[in-house]
Amino acid sequence: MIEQHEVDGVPTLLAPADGPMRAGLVFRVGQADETLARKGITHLVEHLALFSFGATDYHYNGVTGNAYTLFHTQGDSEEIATFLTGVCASLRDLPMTRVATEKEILRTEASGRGTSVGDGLGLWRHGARDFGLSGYPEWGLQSITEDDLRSWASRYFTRENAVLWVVGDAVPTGLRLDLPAGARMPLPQPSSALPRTPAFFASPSNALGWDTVLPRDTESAVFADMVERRMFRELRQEAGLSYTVGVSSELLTADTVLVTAIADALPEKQGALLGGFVDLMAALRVGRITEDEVTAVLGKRCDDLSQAEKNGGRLPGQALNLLVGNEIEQLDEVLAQTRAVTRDDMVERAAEAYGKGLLLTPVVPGPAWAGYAAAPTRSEQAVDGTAYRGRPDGDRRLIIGSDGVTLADHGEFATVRFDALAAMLAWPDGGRRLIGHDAIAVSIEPSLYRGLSAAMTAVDRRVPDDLRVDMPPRSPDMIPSPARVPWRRRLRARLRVPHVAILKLILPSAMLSLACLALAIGIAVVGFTGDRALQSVAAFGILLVAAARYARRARAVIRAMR
Amino acid sequence: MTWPVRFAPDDAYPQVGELRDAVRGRDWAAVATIVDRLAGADRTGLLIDVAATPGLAEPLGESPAGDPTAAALLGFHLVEAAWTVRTDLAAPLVGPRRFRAFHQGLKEAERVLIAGAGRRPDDPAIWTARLATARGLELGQDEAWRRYRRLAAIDPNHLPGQLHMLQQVLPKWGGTWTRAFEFARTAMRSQPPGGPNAVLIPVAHLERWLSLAPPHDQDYIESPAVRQEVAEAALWSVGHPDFARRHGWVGVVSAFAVVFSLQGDHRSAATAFRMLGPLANRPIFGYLGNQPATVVRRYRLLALSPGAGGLTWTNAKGRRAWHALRRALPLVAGAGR
Repeated sequence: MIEQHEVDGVPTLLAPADGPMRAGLVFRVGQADETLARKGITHLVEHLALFSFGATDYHYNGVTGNAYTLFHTQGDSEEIATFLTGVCASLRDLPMTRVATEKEILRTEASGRGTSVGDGLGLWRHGARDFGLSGYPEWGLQSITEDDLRSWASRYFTRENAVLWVVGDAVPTGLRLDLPAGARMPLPQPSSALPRTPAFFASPSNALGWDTVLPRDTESAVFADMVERRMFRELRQEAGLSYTVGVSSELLTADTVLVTAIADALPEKQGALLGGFVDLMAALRVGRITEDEVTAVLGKRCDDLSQAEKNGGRLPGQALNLLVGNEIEQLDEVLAQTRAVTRDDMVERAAEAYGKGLLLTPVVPGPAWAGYAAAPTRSEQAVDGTAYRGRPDGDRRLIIGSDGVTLADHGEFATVRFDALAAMLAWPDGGRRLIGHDAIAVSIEPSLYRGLSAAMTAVDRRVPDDLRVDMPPRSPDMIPSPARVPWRRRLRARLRVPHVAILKLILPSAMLSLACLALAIGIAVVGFTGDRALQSVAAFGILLVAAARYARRARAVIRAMR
Repeated sequence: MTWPVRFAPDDAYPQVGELRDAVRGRDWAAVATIVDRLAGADRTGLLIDVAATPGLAEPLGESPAGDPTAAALLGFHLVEAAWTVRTDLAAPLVGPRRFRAFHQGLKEAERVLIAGAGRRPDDPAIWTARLATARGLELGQDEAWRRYRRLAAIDPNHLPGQLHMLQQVLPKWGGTWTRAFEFARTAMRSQPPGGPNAVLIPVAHLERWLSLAPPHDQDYIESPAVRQEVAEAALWSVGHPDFARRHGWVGVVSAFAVVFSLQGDHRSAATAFRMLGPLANRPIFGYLGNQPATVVRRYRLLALSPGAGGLTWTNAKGRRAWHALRRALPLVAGAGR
């Protein structure tokens, strides 16, 4: 049973459980609330708030998620009270002397972490905004000022925007949550960068990832369990393609969830893992789901829920629910809803999940063969403006206009419009990288285009300060310079005729034709002088037949080559 | 010699024509009845033979959704159509436009087959067709093996699927000779004597022969090791008293006839040709030249003429000289190889 209380105006969930006492203070703010150009500000606030506990022996941690930030701890009642009271005090008055050091710590943390499969999926599904930001580095750190931090903290880390959960018998006495007043912040609306689904993208990774958007209800939760069960059985136990498989759900809006499935595999098994997953999804899509399977999944889910109720595992999820404006769900309600799920519900949910899916795979080219659409890596249109020819590759052009910039490469466009610009990275050497809301990026290296340097000031002027990210200097070998391509390779690329064709068809037939011509001239000459004409005609005939046969064959093969 | 050469599968297997008519007449109940008379590899073989008929895409597209037989037929038909566009020329000789159309056709087939496999994952015909799409779409050795294992879990000795898998493990599709022969030998031995699967051995040797330049090809096929292995395979299958003329037997016997003929072993070839009568398998005899009918007539005549072994150009030395002469001229040697 989850009880609702209040501590200093902060809604509080309390549930008794086995094991040590635990508590978490969660705020409705995360990376999805940030912008690309100032990404990292929530994470920085979280680090600053925890700084004062650096030297203590508490079990505590901070987590910055997409839509929430959590401070949690474990210990006796007094330790918990001290920790949470301390966090609130730090949030009210951030230790600004620590800003520079914490920025360095965050950079180190990022370099050791790498991006996860889930982050990559977010980027391709949502672009360079809200829920897609988790796929990008914390580029904003350098530009974030103390004023930025203060206003961020006073806007999001407020009493109205927080929920406390306590796993234990009572709310710790002496706990004070002295937070400023504010307002409950709604979840950011998820943007979409996918014109068509089911979609895929290929990206280097040691795992396959898939996600989909479903309604936030019991059916979706059961469906997620069913996908996990199938992945475990089919991909791991039966086929031995994967070792770790997992399915997780995350709130996307108050009434939708993002269900994410991940399966790892060795590099030489990625193709088979993709095939196995495509088949798994196809079976779900066509509704090959048995009653027995649904019963087994439901049984296990009910057990897991009861278990979670006993050890307090349901509390953090319910706290998030409350934070986004939903009601608290008690165990018996959830169990009743779970037991009411039918096979038909699963068939319906499976078709919906398949239709909205996004698949990440390291296999190139991806599963276009299975009916998945390639997620866009190019823009549909170019902007109007002045074109600058690339060097050494003259077919590549950079177009700079008043609306934005386009990189046109052999008929394909990458366009970033200034009114849909997420961020511009600027290096001191003049290099720029513009990233659009749809995550399409254009790199501008002044050294690679003729006459570009002067036009760059126009681009810089169009980009507002809060979208500009000044990057540290690059080492000289990271700055691109035009490469030289030998003329012979350029010529061969232009001819575009396979080697075999030249060797086996074009050369022999040319030689035969020349021989025929020579013979014909010979016969003509001999004919005029009037002797030995007959033998020459015989030889000419044989050669002619051979040439005709060869020409017929060559024609067939050359036609086949088109 | 005016002996007829019958390549059409209808001549060997009457149910092919029957099923084709049923499909054309959109009589799905009759289709099910005809197909259900057979099981396993016989059923797959029948579906492959019927699906090779041009123009079946339209009636098959009107089949009731979820019919596994129709899905397999349509899959095989689209694969066959795609391969017709590609032609069986070597990959470097196939132009980009043809390759695009080929891949497009295979993708279409694969989508039909994915849904088919989703509904009926235990249909070996669908997995056989998916081996063909995996190869053509170049989905990789690991994916092909996954599909083959799915097939083998249903029927461990499914010959039509094994013939596709043999192609997949050949060097031209990303495999190696060692793996190819290992695959053929394992497939042969995992079946009791009298079964048709030993045909993988002569087919593997034919592929090896085809890959070698003259005169090494002739040396290879006539080497004692190859002779012995092919003879063993023949005893294990076509020469065994339990060998039954099930669907696909013409291809099995043709493969042995071709290899024995190449080896100049006309006595063994004669046994195979007598079994075949006028029947022959076009793709198998296609290994020997662009006009399979002429090839069949020539080798059949050689094998069945009394005293043919005495003809000078039929012994190994004479034939080697003849082949060397033929291949020295690029005119006659098949550029398609």
